[in-house]
Amino acid sequence: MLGWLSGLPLTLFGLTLLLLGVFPVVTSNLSATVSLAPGFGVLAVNLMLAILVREKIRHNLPLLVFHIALLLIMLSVVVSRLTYFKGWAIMSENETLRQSTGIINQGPWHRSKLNSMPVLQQSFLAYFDEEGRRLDTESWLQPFDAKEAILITNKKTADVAGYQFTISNNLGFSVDLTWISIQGDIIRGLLQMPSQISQPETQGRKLILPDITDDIWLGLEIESARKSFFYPYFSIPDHFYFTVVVGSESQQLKLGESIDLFGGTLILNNIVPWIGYEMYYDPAIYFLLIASIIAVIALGYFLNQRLGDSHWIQENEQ
Amino acid sequence: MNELLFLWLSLGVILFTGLFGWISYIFKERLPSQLGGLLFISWGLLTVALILRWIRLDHGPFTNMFEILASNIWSLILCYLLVFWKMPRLRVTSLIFLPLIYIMYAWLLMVPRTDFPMPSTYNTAWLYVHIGFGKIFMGALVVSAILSLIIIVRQWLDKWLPELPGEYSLQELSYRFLILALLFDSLMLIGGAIWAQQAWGRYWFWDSLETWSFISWLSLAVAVHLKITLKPEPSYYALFIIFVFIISFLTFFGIPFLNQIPHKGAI
Repeated sequence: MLGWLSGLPLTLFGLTLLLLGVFPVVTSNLSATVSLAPGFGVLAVNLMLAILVREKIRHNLPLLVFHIALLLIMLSVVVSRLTYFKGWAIMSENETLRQSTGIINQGPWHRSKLNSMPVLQQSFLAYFDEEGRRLDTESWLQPFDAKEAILITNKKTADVAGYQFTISNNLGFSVDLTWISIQGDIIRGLLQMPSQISQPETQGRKLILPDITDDIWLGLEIESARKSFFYPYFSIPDHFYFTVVVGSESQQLKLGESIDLFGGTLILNNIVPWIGYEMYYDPAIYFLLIASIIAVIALGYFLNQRLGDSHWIQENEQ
Repeated sequence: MNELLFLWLSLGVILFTGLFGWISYIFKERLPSQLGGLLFISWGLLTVALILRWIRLDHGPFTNMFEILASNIWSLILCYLLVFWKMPRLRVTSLIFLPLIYIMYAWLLMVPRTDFPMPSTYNTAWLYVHIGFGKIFMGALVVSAILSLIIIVRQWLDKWLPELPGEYSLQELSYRFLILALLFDSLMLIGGAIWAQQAWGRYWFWDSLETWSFISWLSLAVAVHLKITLKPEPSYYALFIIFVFIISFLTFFGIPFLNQIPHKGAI
């Protein structure tokens, strides 16, 4: 039984399972983790037993290193799939990020590290050419535990609390607003408008205020020509106003103006630019990479030992 | 100097080489001794064409399908020239290798010769590592597939290319080139992952090219293990190697075509 479980036929079976597992990932929305787990499971058992049982492996150093490296690859994949995170963040200037804005996918054991290590978005410059094509970007992120801000560009990513931050295409404006309730409570916050890249025509969002049941919709109407606030870099437009729609009534407001609503007063202080990031967290991937390099080198060494000494073209059949 | 002139000259020389080789083999039952030299001249002319383009655009042949095809023809001929030089017994396989190159040249002539600027993410040494290993991988796999094709054809024409060894020796040789392909494919994927991390902040994204690269790698791994474990008959094994070659060839040339833009990652 041990001989069979540690043998190459089971390796072949595991590899075939892995190969078959890739197709559902390509053709459907099935998670790669679920789809590839059976193949990886079989190969992990096969590998562990091969290292323990097979004399041929244990007495050949390159072959042993190759198999241990393969086992490390398996372990790294398991840790990776349990703890990884893929999502995105939208950060306005001077806003502090304590959790991601959205999650694309994450492992069941992933716990956000940003709560204990928040990050502040300092200023950013997103350059565009006259035709509106995106050029380079310079954005400064200030992690709370770091002395200096980190610069991120189109080519340079940043590592914050283990999360890889990469600049995305999206950017836009947030409305900086203050809500003063009848009881005198003051709340200040940001309402992020949709992306100026993907949704420039629909610059509005539903606004939810404490203890207010009415539907409130806040729109940002930009009067300036698009080129004027995109070229040479993305900036606050010179001319804009707000539209506040409560129920069936709508009112236009300028910067700094306020509107009395049932339950309090809403003041529109300013607009600030925001920038989007893709976020990726995977603590195991570095080990995966190192183990892969070791595995390939060890296999190359072993094959050179085995095949290098014999003639490549053999005259005698079988 | 016009790079196209050298490209056409290269094509002309290689067409002549193949015709000369085939005619000589059909009528004299041996390859002309000048075949290797002619192949080398064709490769040299293609090298000049690529260098002239590199100088004109100030970047290597990496950005569009025209450049990728041209550089792969270049690397395949180079890999094959090494085999031609080091393994004289295999020289007769040029009768199969050259028609494959003709197909790629024909494809190259149909692709638009657009000039693209090099993306900023390509400005890294990992580009050369990734692409270099990829080219060796494809070169080794092409040789393995040609040897497998000979095994298959010999099922009907058992006296075909008698200069070459028997089926089991061809299978062993094909298998060794397959192992080389697996090693260099692994190195290509590792190099690509490091480059992707540097350029886009992630090692792997499961985009279509990455997924198909993984499928190609797994097919290669299965093929290598198949030989050791099930010890299949040469003809069946040869069929599997041809299948692996088709998967890898489509991954190399088909998937970037479907995506319109060669592998550029997620962002």
